[in-house]
Amino acid sequence: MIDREHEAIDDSLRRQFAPPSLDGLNDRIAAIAASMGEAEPRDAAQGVDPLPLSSRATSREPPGEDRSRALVLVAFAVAAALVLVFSWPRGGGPATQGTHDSALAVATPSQVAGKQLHDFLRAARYPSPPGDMDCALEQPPSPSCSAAEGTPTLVANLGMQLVWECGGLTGVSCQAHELPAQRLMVVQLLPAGPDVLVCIEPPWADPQPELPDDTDYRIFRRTLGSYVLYEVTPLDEPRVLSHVKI
Amino acid sequence: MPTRDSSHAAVLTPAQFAERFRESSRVLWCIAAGVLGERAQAEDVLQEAALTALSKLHTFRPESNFVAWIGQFVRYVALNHRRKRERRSRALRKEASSEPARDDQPPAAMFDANVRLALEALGETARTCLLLKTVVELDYAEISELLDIPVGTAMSHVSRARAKMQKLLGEPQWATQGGGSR
Repeated sequence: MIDREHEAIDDSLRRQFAPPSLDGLNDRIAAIAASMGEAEPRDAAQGVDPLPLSSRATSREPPGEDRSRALVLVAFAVAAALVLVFSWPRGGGPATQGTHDSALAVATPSQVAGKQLHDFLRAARYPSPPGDMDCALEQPPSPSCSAAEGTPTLVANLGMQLVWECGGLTGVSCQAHELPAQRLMVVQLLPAGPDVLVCIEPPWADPQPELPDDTDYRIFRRTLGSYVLYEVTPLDEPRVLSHVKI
Repeated sequence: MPTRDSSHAAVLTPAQFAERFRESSRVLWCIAAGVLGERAQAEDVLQEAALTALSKLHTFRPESNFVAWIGQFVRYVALNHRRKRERRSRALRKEASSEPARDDQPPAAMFDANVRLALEALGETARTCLLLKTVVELDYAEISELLDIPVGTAMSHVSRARAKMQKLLGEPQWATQGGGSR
């Protein structure tokens, strides 16, 4: 009986959540990727390509048998880019836009990463931070910190994870401060002071960010255990780095 | 610490990324739908996540699982969408989620609607595990790797999710004509 009821639920889920055709989306991503590939010959110059040559050739070549399809893809790419430009920064401010602009336009990953951090801090304004949102690392992780308006968008676009967001999706234990092998980010929200950003990364993910020339921020770095930490701050000295314990 | 050359070398070209994305888009769509709790916006989430991941190609490690890597982007973008949606319509959603489907619908439609509401009552991880297991038929080891959780946790999420949904659907106010008799 129980199995039968489970089966009814499973059937219903299969009916309702069968993935739709994603051909259109896949084509749009392929078109955007193709345009990025043309703009970034760096990989080829470095000779880094883990895939066999045959698969590289296949994936780099446009579908030659159908020229009109390629034109449609380009049109999709332009449309998608326009949609992004006009719709993305609704809640997050200019930092999200900067993420993609810089990904396409800035030369090195370090500069891209630095500009993202710079834009993040400059644009990150939390419309109504509750009084208890001083999310310093020494405090127990608190889900309330992740409720900051705009933060999740920016965090997602930086490809990092809020360190105090624990349990559930994050896979981070709420009991122990064990850092998983993925990129983490801490934003110290100071209601009466500047925002300070701390990134905690395994060395393989460290982009060694370089801030733009005209920045008002500084980066302080620290190696702790098997992690690299850096604090981006408008202040003359790091405020959070020394408090981090792993 | 690796040298800059090795840490920054892109191990995936954008074209290779697109190919791998195409191969895994159904699974990724399921992750998005699982976090969102609904079909709507799942494709939008996927597109946002893909573009974000494209701008982060240098963080991908050749020895890591591509789907798990991009799955992180999908989950966070989806979570963000979900939070925005909840903030926008908290009051309305509260009303809707506590109200099972009306019985003036056909039994199957009513059952489906109640299943959606019961699914909504689960946590994001449980919902995602359940959809990955049920809809795209991943095994627990694959779910574990994708969501970065232990295999046992994935199994437990699926089992508890089914039990919770079954319990909810069996409650008097959720009683449907389409469930157990199907």
